[in-house]
Amino acid sequence: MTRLATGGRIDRTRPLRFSFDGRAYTGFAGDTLASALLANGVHLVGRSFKYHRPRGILSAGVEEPNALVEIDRGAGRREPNARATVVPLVEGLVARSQNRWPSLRFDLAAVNGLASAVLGAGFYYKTFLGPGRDAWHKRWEPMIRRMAGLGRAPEAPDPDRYGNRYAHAEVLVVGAGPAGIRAALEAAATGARVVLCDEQAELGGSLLAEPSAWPQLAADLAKLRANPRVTLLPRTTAFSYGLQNFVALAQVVEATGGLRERLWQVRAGRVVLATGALERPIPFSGNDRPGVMLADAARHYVQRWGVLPGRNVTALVAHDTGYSAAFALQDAGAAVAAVLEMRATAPAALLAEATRRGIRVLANHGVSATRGGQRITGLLAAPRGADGTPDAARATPIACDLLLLAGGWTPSVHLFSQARGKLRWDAALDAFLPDEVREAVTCVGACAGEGLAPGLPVTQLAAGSATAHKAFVDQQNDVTTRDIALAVREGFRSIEHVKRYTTNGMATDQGKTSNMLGLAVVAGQLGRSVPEVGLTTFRAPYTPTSFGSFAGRHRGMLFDPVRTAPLHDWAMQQGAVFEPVGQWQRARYFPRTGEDMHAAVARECLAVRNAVGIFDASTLGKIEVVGPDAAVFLERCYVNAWRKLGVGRCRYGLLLREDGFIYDDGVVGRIAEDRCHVTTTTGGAARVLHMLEDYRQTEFPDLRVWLTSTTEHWGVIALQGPRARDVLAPLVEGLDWRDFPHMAVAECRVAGIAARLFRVSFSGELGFEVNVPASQAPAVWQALLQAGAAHGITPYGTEAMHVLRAEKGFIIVGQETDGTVTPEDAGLAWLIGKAKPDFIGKRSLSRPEMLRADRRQLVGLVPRDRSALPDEGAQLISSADARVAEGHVTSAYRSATLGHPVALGLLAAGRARLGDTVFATRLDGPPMALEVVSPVFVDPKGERLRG
Amino acid sequence: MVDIRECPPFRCTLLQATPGVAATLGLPLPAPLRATDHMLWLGPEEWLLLGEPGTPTGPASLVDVSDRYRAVSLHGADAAALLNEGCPLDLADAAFPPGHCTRTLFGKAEIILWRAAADDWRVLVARSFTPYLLALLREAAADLNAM
Repeated sequence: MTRLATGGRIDRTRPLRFSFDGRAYTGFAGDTLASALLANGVHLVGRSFKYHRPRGILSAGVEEPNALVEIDRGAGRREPNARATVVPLVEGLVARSQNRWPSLRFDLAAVNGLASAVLGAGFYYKTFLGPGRDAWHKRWEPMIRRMAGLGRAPEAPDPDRYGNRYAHAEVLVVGAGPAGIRAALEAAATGARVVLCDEQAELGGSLLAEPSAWPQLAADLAKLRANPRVTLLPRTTAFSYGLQNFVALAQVVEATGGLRERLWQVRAGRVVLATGALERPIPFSGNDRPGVMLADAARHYVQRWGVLPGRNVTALVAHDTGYSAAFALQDAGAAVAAVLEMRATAPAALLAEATRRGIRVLANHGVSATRGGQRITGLLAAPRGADGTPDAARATPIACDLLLLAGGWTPSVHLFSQARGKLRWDAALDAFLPDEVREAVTCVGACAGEGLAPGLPVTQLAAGSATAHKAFVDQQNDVTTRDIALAVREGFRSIEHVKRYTTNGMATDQGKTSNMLGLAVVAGQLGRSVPEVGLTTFRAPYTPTSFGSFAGRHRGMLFDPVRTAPLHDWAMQQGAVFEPVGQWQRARYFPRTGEDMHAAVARECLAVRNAVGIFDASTLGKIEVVGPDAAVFLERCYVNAWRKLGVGRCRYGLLLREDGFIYDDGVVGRIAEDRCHVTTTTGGAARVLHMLEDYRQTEFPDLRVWLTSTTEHWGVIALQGPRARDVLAPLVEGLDWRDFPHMAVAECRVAGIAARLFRVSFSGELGFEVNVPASQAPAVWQALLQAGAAHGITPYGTEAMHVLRAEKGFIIVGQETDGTVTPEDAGLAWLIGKAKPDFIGKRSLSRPEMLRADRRQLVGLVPRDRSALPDEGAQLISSADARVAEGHVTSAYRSATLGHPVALGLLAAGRARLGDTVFATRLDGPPMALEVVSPVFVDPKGERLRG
Repeated sequence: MVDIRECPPFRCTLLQATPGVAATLGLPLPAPLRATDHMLWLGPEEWLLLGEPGTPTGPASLVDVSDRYRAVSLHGADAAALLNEGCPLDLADAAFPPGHCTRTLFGKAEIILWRAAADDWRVLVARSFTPYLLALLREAAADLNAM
């Protein structure tokens, strides 16, 4: 065991059992998976992406490139690529290593390491150019997917919930280290609403590794916790910084059987970034072995988790903080074999302290190689030559089980950069620091460079490493210094190109430990400075964020609102089959026992043609247009003439866009001089209202007219069929039937309920639409059913409605039209008020293109053999072997009324081709011969609906 | 905790008119974003009248929308937090004091949010969105205090 007897913030009274790769271990409350593994002496935790090299735990935080594991919390809760360094240990945690086969210790694919010469920079690009066009997808891609994939996606549906919270705060503080806590306290003292978030399970940041600071930390956090205007969010990562201080935070909750994550979308008056700094690793040959660890991470394991990650320690330092780590490990009981100081001389005070402690310091030294398989066993300490290369010839072997790397510090400017803040290169500190920014954002603490001291410049850290063997820069993507040097030799100069060619910094860690090193290697190869080479772009998310947190509750039944009409429950009870129409669920047909859809629809259609059908049309869009100028307004918008439409009369209206194409249609009833009841298509309700409102406010502000959506106020019951009046009349009060012709509207009572009764038909039969307040619709429906029983009243659904209207050649906007159909194309030019000076789209209709004789026009189509049904969407061609489409089938149904299929289509110059034969393409056979006919199949003279 | 309740149906009428004409109803006109017991300001020249509407003098649009809207009321200290599950507005006392009302969103549903009193939040929604609104509110309420 490497757990210390005392110290750390873990609770030794609360042991937690967990497993890793099937082996049982024990840790303590307060551990991360990484600290618990280290406490059990486990350093080997994964295999690398490309070469399957054994990898350990490099860091103690989110920057971890190696210790990526699969956390298995049961079916649907398996999470790949979790960073063991930030996974809080819980009782029963099941973790597995990734990217190994058959086992972590014995991995066959490690042979990739031997083939590394061909897997270098640009491998992906070069194999595209390999022999044979199929080489990539037949050979390389399957191989790479098998070998190099990281992690397994869960197969079962995710059983957990994901929440969302919008929040507003005067101050959002990101990072709960010393600077963040200070900022939160200061902001809270002003009475501001403060949100303080931190990606770690415990708030405190670097203070968690400073036992002397713990009493104050506890007091500060207690003070913040007691303030109701302060929201403390541990395990919450600010991952995206949007415009105007709109910051997205991903909170991990993992409530048992409940909320797994919550997305916070915070609008903050001011954002304080206290995101700290990340320690730089150091590139040298074999720098990726398990047991090679960032120095400050090792110090955290000792101080925060009471774990001694190694007993025989060597430190490679380029920065003073490396000494603190070495001393802390020594204080905890480790032997420190040597400190290899990369700088020419060690700082005097630290050298004196090391000497006092009996620690050997070798100045101007580097590491020329490491030894060991699944954990480091030793290294070669070598004096650095003039160019920084460790001189292997003069190297001394040193045995160790832990090698600390102290390469200096890189301020975490990720979010500042996402906020479109400019960075400036601080030569003294050897780091990019926040500079100008337009957002109200302040950087404090280490991310602003505060409290950081310079160490060996990063270019010198990387100096001489370009020739080293297996000196890793990006450990997650297995990118070495040689890969980067090769990319530069092959002509890549821009850091953005080098990044993409080598994939350096493109893994899920987004290069948190590799970007600066990669930059330094490129700078060295090009002989330029770091700022001259420039920085790659920081993009959201800062750390990997689950799809679940983006989806939130928008899944299953809540994926989108499911809207149901007032008669939905009744239709459900009748066993109706429903279809989605936009967000609405509409009854498609009402099958009786033993009926399939075809039989049910045929029966429903014949009932309407021969007796009477009843239909829920409530989803139709409805707009109340009110004001002295109501008719004038409609006159300016719709193609029709409205001013002469009498009170109590209706008209079928057509609405175009500016471009002259059909946008929507519907019946408009004039309820009063100053009041019109406009209907729209079900799908067009919202967009038509928006369009009309837009015109009202911006084009016609002179008109005294207002629009109100009444779609949901009215329940609409359609009665269609020769017996419709017989059913309805006994229930109607206050209507003069002698003055109620086709296309009339009246306010009256139906079954005792105040109603707007329309005499309209979308079936070609005598028809009525009863509008009653939605809450009353079920009662009126029942009354009509009862009254209709003797007449054979039959409920019908949207499918029969479609067939009936197609038999009459009535278009459905969106089915017969596709945004390129004019009134003339649809055979509806007769609707246009010829005397009108203007309406929306009028000018466009006179463009030459709109007047071409060969435009596609609405026609009816009947299969020559009277049996087969053409496919909706099938292309129309003039002969069976023609290659040029001249139109397409827009609707096709079996017609029980006619005894053969009928179809509508748009066909070039179609109205001049009545009687011709055209062909509809088929996916599964030769084209089908169709006769071109009039689109009105039933009752062309319209006698039935005037009955 | 939040108490989520469906309100009984209520009479409401949408009034659109110039403020001068609206004033002829004899009711005090609420300021933008404000509501009285009888009138909710919904937009420029647009109010929702509660109860039996009077008749204004002058050109105006009065449309009965009683069956268009359903209402849900929320009571409890966490009501604002629950609303912020799906509503992006700042609902703190300073930003959204009692008497405030506005058109906004809850998830994918358009709503009218009215804070009738400090602990009385009303959500008006088009009737077909009621099941969605309630389901989303209830699921979110179950997770409200999970941290």
